Amino acid sequence: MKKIIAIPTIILLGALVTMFPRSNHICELDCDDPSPKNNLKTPVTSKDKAHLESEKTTTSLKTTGVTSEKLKKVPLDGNWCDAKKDLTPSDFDLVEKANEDWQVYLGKAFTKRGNAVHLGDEHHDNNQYVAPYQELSPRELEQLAYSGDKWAMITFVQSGSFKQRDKMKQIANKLLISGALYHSIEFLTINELAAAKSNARLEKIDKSNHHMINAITYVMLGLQHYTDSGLIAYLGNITRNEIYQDILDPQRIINENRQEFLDNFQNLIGDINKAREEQSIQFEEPNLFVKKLFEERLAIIQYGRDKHIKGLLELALPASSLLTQTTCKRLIMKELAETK
Amino acid sequence: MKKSNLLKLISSLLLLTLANQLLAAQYEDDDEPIDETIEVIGNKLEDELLPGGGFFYGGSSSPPRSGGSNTQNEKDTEKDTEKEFKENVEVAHSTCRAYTSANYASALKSQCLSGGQFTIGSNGLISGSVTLDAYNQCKDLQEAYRDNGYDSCAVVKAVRIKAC
Repeated sequence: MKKIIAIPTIILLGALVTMFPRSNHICELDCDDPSPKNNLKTPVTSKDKAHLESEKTTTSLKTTGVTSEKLKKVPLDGNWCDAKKDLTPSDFDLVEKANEDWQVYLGKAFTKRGNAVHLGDEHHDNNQYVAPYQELSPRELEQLAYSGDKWAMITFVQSGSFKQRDKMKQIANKLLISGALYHSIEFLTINELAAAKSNARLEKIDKSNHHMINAITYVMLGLQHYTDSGLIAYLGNITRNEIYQDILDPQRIINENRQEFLDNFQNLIGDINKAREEQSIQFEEPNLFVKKLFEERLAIIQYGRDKHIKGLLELALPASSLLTQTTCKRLIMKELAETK
Repeated sequence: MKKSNLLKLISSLLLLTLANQLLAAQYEDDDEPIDETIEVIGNKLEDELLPGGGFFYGGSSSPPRSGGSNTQNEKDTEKDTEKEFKENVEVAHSTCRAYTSANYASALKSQCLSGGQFTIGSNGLISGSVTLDAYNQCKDLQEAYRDNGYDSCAVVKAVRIKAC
């Protein structure tokens, strides 16, 4: 009889233990079983959610056995370097969001060219802004671009049409003034590099030098506006074509034409500022988070290209400082080397 | 049944009732319970829907976030996911380069050899003469676009792998 009564009692006590969680806190934070899958099934009140958010990272790292030293996250206004690693997930999301908005301000929205039209939108950043304009006839697009429609202008400068080269240049110059200069800088750099090459082929060295100086001017102008499209176009071309190691060696051209370059740069900046003033346009500087993400991105772009960056650094313009090797950049480059 | 055993049974039943009431009270709190499980599963599905998804000319995409695990199986799964993610990045990169090359070839044909060079003469006839110089200039422009495209592909690949 004793046994008959003892067994249900044990079962009942067992049931009680199961029903009472060890504390009223969410299990994920301090229960014995750290498996988030199990713990997240526990109902979470909105009151708890904020606390959960701040603790989530630390707890998940604890469960994977990472030492407490590595758990430290840098505050958003602190001296963080690698956003993904150093910030909490919520801070990282905030920084990413701020950066996305900055990219839209710069007019970074990729059109789909040729075969890429069959790809999903996720393959081209912010394509949704320019996709409707790609449906227009060339004439309609041109009319809209000339009327000053920002996204029409951005679509137009990406058309890559040789026949429209001069018109694209006109629109690109307008975009420079407006501040939506991502694709404008990209096109102007590409256009000048191509012109330098064409003139070098015809042995018009002065002209080709002049176009190289223009190309570098646009790269530096882009950097001054926290835009990397010019630098990508520049490095993409000079590292892949022999002509840029020889006749069009940028290092040599910079050294031999330093004053012309500086005059060119100052004139361009002066023209842009004057036009902005006339049209009451003020270029907005990005916030600190975006600037830090830009530094991170530059580390990726510059990685393994010290030789080609050297000339740009020697120009000693304010934007050149963005290309200097910082502790952050070294860390990111080291990480890149490890993933290779 | 002995008296002491009967008392034990009654006390257990009382405790059980109390436990049920407490549990019910927990759910009837003013704050609406949030089904965190569904949210987490939702995020996971979203990540899985874009296994090879990448941005050819910009942006970044992170691999599925780890929710934290401590078992060997879960660690293995994380490693597999990371490996799969890197493989997908490689595939996206190759495709990016392939499209860049294809666009270059297409532009040479459509813009440098024909479309871009036709003019309407005074007699109203369309002439399609292409000079070598014009072809080279057009080709230089398309090459510059192509090389920019290659570098954009490489940058996107590096950004995505770094985020892994």
